[in-house]
Amino acid sequence: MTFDLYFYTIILGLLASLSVFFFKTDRQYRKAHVLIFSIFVIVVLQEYVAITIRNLNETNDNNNSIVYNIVGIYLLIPLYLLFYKMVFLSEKMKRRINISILLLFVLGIVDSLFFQPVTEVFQYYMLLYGSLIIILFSISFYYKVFTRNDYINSNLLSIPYFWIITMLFFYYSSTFLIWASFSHLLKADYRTFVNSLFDLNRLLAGVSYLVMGLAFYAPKVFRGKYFIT
Amino acid sequence: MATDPAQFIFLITAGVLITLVMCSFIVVLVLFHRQQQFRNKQKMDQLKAEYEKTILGVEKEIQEQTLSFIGQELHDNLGQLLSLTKLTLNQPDPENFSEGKRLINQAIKEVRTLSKRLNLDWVKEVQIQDFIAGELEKIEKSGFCKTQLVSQVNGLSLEQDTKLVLIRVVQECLNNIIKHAEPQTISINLLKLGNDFSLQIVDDGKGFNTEDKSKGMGMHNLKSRIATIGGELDIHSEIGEGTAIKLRVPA
Repeated sequence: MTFDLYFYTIILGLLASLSVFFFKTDRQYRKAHVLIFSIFVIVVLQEYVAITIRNLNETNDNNNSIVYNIVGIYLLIPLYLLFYKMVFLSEKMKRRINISILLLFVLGIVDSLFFQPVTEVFQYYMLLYGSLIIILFSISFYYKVFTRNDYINSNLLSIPYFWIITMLFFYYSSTFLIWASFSHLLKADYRTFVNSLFDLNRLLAGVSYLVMGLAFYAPKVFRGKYFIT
Repeated sequence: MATDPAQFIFLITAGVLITLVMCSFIVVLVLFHRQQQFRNKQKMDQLKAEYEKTILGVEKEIQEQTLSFIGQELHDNLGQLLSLTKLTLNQPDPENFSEGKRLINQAIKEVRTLSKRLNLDWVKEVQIQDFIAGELEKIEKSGFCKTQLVSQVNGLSLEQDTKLVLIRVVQECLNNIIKHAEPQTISINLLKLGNDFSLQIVDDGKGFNTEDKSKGMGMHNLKSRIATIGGELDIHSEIGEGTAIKLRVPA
């Protein structure tokens, strides 16, 4: 049931972000809007393919980890990092993002060769790395907003980047915590608890996608809702 | 989804807790941002008030300087011209009549020039390099010392407020040199450095100790005036060697 809920929220997010093709998005957010829409399409396809593989192979030992590895880690995380690249204007931050993407692939090869084969198991080491990077760039965004007076003349709630980054921050923080403690929880035989945590994480992902889909309406919804200096 | 009630309760409780944490996080960020906007607005208002105060002060000082200059011109130049005209016209022969007419024309011209300086509109029209050339010419004509102007600036257009402050700072610097430095030469260099306009006033006079607190207030005033137009001012001086004042403003 959580999967259904999760899937419906992605579809809703996708439908909400379709507005990029029908309404006039603020020019400064247009590229980011198209990117988020592409992410939705990829996530929907990822979940569809993953569930199809699972249904097909229910009797076999084959699993759909490869789909989550390739799409969820090596495609979606770089796409999120590209999104951060659109948010940050400084060349230094853009360079850091490029290095992080490159490191993701390099570490991914090392992980695949020596620790977690890409076709066999879910590479959660790489997910931990990706989550950590996203958390760090989210903190950098907040730092930029509060210490360097970026967006000082805007209503914070009207900035789509703020909503998307906040949701990514929460989702990847929970993902990081869950996967970082995953092996310990399994060893301690907390399988039921682990399942609940994954359900919770999936619900959080659904909410994140929904908010991300709606984020680009924020400039219209929150315009002038609190004073503009 | 949760298969047993305990799991379901866990899911609901954790979901509610996460939602609360998320909402609180967003509210805190928004409040913090709003507070920062207030602080920024206050700072901007303060800067604006300071800027307006500086510009008003500068305008007042330029007007005072102009009035003093006009008073001096009326007494030393126009007064002399009119007295000479009166003397010339006391003997009304054709030659003196013609000379009187020429003197009156010159007096009219002087009056026109002076009247132009009575309001600050001349600042709009004057180019900073022309103004500086005029000031240096006055000093040289008075026989006080030699002057030199090196300008590598062509067609520089400064905002009126920037020009006002610059004019006043240059006047202040030249006044200080005349009052205290006893130089042989005063030279001014004008340069365009990227997007900035740079001006250097160098004299070979007595110089002074820049650490001297009695001179500190004057230097501070000059620096704060330049700062209000987004510029920087640097004073370098050594006793017996002279003084160099470098200032840089956005053009």
